[in-house]
Formats: sequence, structure tokens, C-alpha cells
Amino acid sequence: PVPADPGHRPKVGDHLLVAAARDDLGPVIAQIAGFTTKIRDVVVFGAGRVGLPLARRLEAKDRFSITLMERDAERARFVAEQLPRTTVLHEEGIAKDVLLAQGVDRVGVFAACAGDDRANLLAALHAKQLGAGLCLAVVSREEYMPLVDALEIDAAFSPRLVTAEAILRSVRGENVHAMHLLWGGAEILEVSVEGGCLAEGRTIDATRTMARTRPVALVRDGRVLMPEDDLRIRGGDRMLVFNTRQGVADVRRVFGAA
Amino acid sequence: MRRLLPRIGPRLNWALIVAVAAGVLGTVGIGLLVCFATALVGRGGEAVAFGVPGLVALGAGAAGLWWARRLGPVPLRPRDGFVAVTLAWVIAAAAGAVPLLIAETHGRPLDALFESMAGFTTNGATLLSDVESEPDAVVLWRSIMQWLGGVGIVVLVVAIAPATGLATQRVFHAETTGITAERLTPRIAETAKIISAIYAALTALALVAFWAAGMSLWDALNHALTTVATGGFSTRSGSLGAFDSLPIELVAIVFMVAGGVNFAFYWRALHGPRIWPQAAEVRAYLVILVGASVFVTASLVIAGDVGGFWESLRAGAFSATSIVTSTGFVTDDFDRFNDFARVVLLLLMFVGGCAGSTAGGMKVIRVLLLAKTAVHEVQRQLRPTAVQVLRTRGRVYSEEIRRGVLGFFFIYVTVTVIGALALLASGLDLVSGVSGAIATVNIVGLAIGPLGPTENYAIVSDGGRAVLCVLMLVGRLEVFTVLVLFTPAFWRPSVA
Repeated sequence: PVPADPGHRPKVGDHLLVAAARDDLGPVIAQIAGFTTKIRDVVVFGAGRVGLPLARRLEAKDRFSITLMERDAERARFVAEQLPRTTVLHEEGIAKDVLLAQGVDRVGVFAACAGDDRANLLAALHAKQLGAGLCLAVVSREEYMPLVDALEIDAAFSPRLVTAEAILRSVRGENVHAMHLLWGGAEILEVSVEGGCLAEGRTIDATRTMARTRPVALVRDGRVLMPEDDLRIRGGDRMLVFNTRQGVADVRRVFGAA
Repeated sequence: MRRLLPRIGPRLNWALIVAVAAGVLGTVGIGLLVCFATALVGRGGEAVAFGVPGLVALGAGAAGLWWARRLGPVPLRPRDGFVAVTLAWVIAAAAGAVPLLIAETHGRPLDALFESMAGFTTNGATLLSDVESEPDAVVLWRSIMQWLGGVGIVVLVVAIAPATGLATQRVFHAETTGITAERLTPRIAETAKIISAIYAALTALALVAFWAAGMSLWDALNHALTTVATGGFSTRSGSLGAFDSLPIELVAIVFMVAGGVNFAFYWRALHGPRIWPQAAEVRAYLVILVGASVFVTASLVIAGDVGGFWESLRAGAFSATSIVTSTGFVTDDFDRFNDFARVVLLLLMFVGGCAGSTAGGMKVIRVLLLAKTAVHEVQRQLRPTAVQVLRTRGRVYSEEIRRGVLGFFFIYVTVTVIGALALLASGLDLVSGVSGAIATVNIVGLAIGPLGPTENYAIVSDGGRAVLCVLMLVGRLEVFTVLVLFTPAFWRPSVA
């Protein structure tokens, strides 16, 4: 992972980490990727511990047409009873012709959330080959991660990483509010700035020299603020910090109470 | 040889049978004594006809209950419910026929039984051609029979069946217990009392309303009793049409509709706010009523059978309501209606009112579920692997219920067809036979053609009358209850 300097040119195949306010994400991504698409149809493969909550949350948003594929008859029935606006299929959805029959070629998002990594990867691969928009796969074993890029699957999620994040978050300290682990040993932290800390009163760029961390943005009173020359850090703010593992102690030192 | 004969003795739950018979006789006895009192002061006398059977019934009832209590706790097996329920109605009808025989209202036992059965099953068909000339006590007894039949079915379905798990009522059990699947109250007696109280309150309201609309106190009382029970007996041979009063018809419409609502819904409305979202069945019921009225009215307007728009609306709305709630009051000569309207009304008989009400028919909830099932089946052609869940807003129905509803539908129609064939075999004409069977199984009482507006079933032969008695019983008790008694498995010595 490489902190981006202004002169840095991204190459094809790089993963970009973009910090933006949620409402600005659309235009930002449009600028980077060149386009955005509105998603309407979603296919979730597997109604297990990931698939069911996912479908439930998507259904609650009320602007998606969701199809949920589940291999087990009883589970399919159980899930169908809980999701009134989702189409639940009792279907083993890996084979290409099955996916095609369910319209995966025209779907906006295909999320493979079954319990088996290989099934997820295979299903996501088929979906991508059929022409689905965004193909996501839940992959819990790190060994399979290289396959994600090789198969041109758009993104992978690891339940193990999420668990690790939750544990590390509590280990890191009380003022760490959120945390996301990245490949290659980097992480993104959301840290609250305590009154009287070293960073108080400085600009964001100034803190960069103080520690081997890279503060990226600031959240104050519910608004996201990007680094500017006259923006000073205050107690009570929340910092979004891009960090390598070595910088953990620095984070505490710079943003924690004196 | 011995194995061929069913061992009836130990198989039947005698304690339960005696308890049920006693309870029914006691209640009938009280009703008879009320009529006895009426006979003393009213027109036409017949005090003996009601006094003697009344005392006998009350005495038998009291004795029976005392003896049953001595037998100790009554073990209740699933099959006992069917016997008990069927027995209750048979005993009531038999007991109710006695005063009619003695008073010579009907010359023959079969005829008296017919009238009595039509009373307790809240059917409304009659063999009397001139009700006005009957003694007051007889007229009141007819009304009381329907009133008792109504409260009986409502208490059975809403209070007793869910607690004892009477199998055919599982759909209702599902409806009456709603989302949280809790019983109304933990105890049957408690629930029964509440339901009876609601029923009595509605009757009292109807009495006041009818009287305020212009009926005499006597007419108002009798009609209040039969309207809330959605029965259809009247003090006039011409039914409600004889009054020719719009206010009276409006009151009747209101209370017919009220009688056709699930009584558990009433209970819940009293105890909690905002049950409306859960009451899918009641919503559908009202939609059906309005829709039916619109259809019938429209056809009447177009065909010009009854007159202008307002007359058509009055006739259409009333007849649609009367039919859907399976009451059977008449305001217009059906034979004047065009065929489309009459067939629509005939089909509406199958729908009926809500489960847990006094109405007959297949019940709105079943029709609703059947309609949804049909839609699902069509959708399944497009997506064979899609999991279809039968649901109404706020409630999911299991596969078991779905299958039960489909099975019920098939059997119901089959019974109607067999009934129609039996009636035709007994000598009735085509229209009477078919419409008579439909009207009887659905407990409407009012058919088409010769059996139509006057609801006078005098043209039916003896065989036909017997068939109709059976159909009334089968229809009131939701078909399965009676049919189960005819399966060999019922009588086989087994655990259940």
C-alpha cells in the first residue's frame, strides 16, 4: 500500500482508496472510473449468514428488485417467509445456464454469499462472464484471494477480516471508532481526537510529519472536511487515518490524550 | 364376525356426549320456556307445546350435567370434537322440532325437523307458507332457534375450536389468533363468555335500530334475533320485502354485515388499537360486499329489471349483502332479476362471510387464500423454482394451511354437487335442484326459481327434504366435521 502523493499516477490494476463524503461518492467515482450506473436488480447467491441480512437490508431500502438463490429447500422457505418483497428461488445457482435463466446477464449486482468460497468464486465468475454488472464474492480464506483478481471479480469480502477488525478495534483503544483492514498490511482508522493532544490546533498536513500515519479527512459535527490550509484540528473531531501497522503507536501518541 | 362390528361402546367418550347433550338440551329448554311465557301472553297460545318440552329439556339438561360432573374430568381426544359438535346440532334440531310438532305447525316429524334444522343451522329455508298466521310463540321460537344457532357456531369456532385444536378449524385458528399466535384468553369459558356478550350486545343494538327504523317491538325483536345470526327467518312470509321500508333495509344491511364479521376481530378491536392492518379477511370481506353490490346493481340498471338507478341500487345492495352474509332476507322477487345477476348471486353464496362469524359459505379467508394460491400458480409457470409464500399483510400461512384450504375447496364443491344430484333424483327441477343444493350447503336458504323469493320449500319431496336436512348440517359444520364421522378410521380402535 502506497500513500498517494499529488504527483502519483495510478496504473491499471491498482486499487484506489478514495476518501469522500458519502453523498459525494457518486460524482467522485464517476470522475475516476468515468461512469456510474444506477443499480436496480440484485441477485444474492446463498441465503445464509451473510446472504439473508444482506437481502434484508437491501429490501429495506425499497429501491432494489432482489432475487435470492438458496440451495436448501427448508432454508429457502424460511427465508421467503421473512422477505415479502424478495423473490426467493430454491435453486443451485452455480451453473451458467441456471444463472442465465434467472436473468443474471442483465443484473446490476451479483453477490455470492454462500458458505463455500469456491462456490462463491465460481458463481461470481460465471456471473461476470454472463455480463452482470458488479460481481462480489464472500471469500473467507486468504489463500483464495489472488483468485479474485485473476477471475476479474470486482470485489471480495472476508468474514474473517471483519471479525479481525472488530477485535483489533477494541484492542487499539477507546478512541478508535471504526477500522478497516486492507490487503498488504495497511488499515484505515477512524479516530476521535481528544482534547489536549499533540495534534490539536495543527493542520492536517502538519500532522503528517509527526507520525508515520496519513490523516486523510476530518469529520466534524456530522460534516466531512477535506484537508485545507486553514483547517485546524480540534478536540472532538474524528480523523480518518490511513495507517500501516507500524504507525499504530503513533496514532495513539498523536491523537490520544496527553 | 365380532371384528366386523365396530365396538362402539368403549370407543365413544360417553361423558363428553352426555355433557354436550345436556348442555344443548338445557339451553334449548331455556329458549322453549321463554316461548312458553310468550305463549301465555301472546297471540295464538300453544303454551303446552312449549311448556312441556321446555321443562323436560331443562330437566334433562340439568340431570345430564349433574351426572356428567359425577363422571369426573372429561378426557378430550381429537375425534371427540367431531362427535360432540355434530351431536350438538342434531340434538338441538331434534329437540327444537318437538314443539313445532305439538303445536301442529307442521304435520309430520320430517317437516318439523326441517324447520328446526333450518333454524339452528341459521339457514332460513322454511316450509311455512303463511308465517303471519302462526302463533306468536312459534314465530319467536323460530327466531330464537336461529339466534342460538348463531351464538353456538360463533362460540364454537372462536372460543372452543382453537383451544381444543378441532382440526377443520385450523384455518380459523390461524386467523383468530393473529400474528402472535396467542389465544384470546387462556380459558375457553372466559372467551366464550366474551364472545357471547358481544353477540348479545349486537342483538340488542339491532333491536333498537329496527324499532327506531319503524318496526313494531315484536317485529324488531324477532328480526334482531335472526339478523345478527344471519339466519333469515322473518315474521312475514314476504320476508323483509313485506315492510317495503328503506330505513329497515338499511338497518338490516348494517347488522347482516356485522354478523358476518369475525367475532374474534370484534374482541380484538375492543382490547387493542390498530388491528386494522391485521384484518386482511375483514378488508377482503368488505371489498367483496361492495364489489358484489356494484356488479349486481350495474346489471340491474342495464337490464332495467327493477326500475331506475336508485331502485336498482337498493335491490342490488340488499340482495348482494343478504346472499354474501348467507342470511337470506328477500326484498325483491329474484325472478325479476336478469340471469347474469342471479348467477352472480348464486356464485356469491360460495364465498360467505368471515371465518368465526355466523355466516356460512366457504368463508372469505379461504376464498382469499385460494385466490392468492391461484395467482401463485400462474406466477410459478414463469419461475418454477421460486418459493411462493402465502401471505396477507402481517401474516404468513404455512404449506399445511394451504393444502387444507385446497382440500376443503374440493370437498365442498363435491358435496354440493352430490347434494344437487340427490335433489334432482328426488324429483326437483334443474334450477331448484342445483340452486337449492348451493343455497343449502352455504346456509343461505334463499335459492333461485321455485325455491326463490318466498323460500318456501314445500315443493320439495320427502326424500329431498331429508337430503336438505343433511346438507344443512354438513354445511353449517364446515363439511369435514360431519364427513370425518363416515371414515372407517374414525371408528377404528387407535390411539387418537
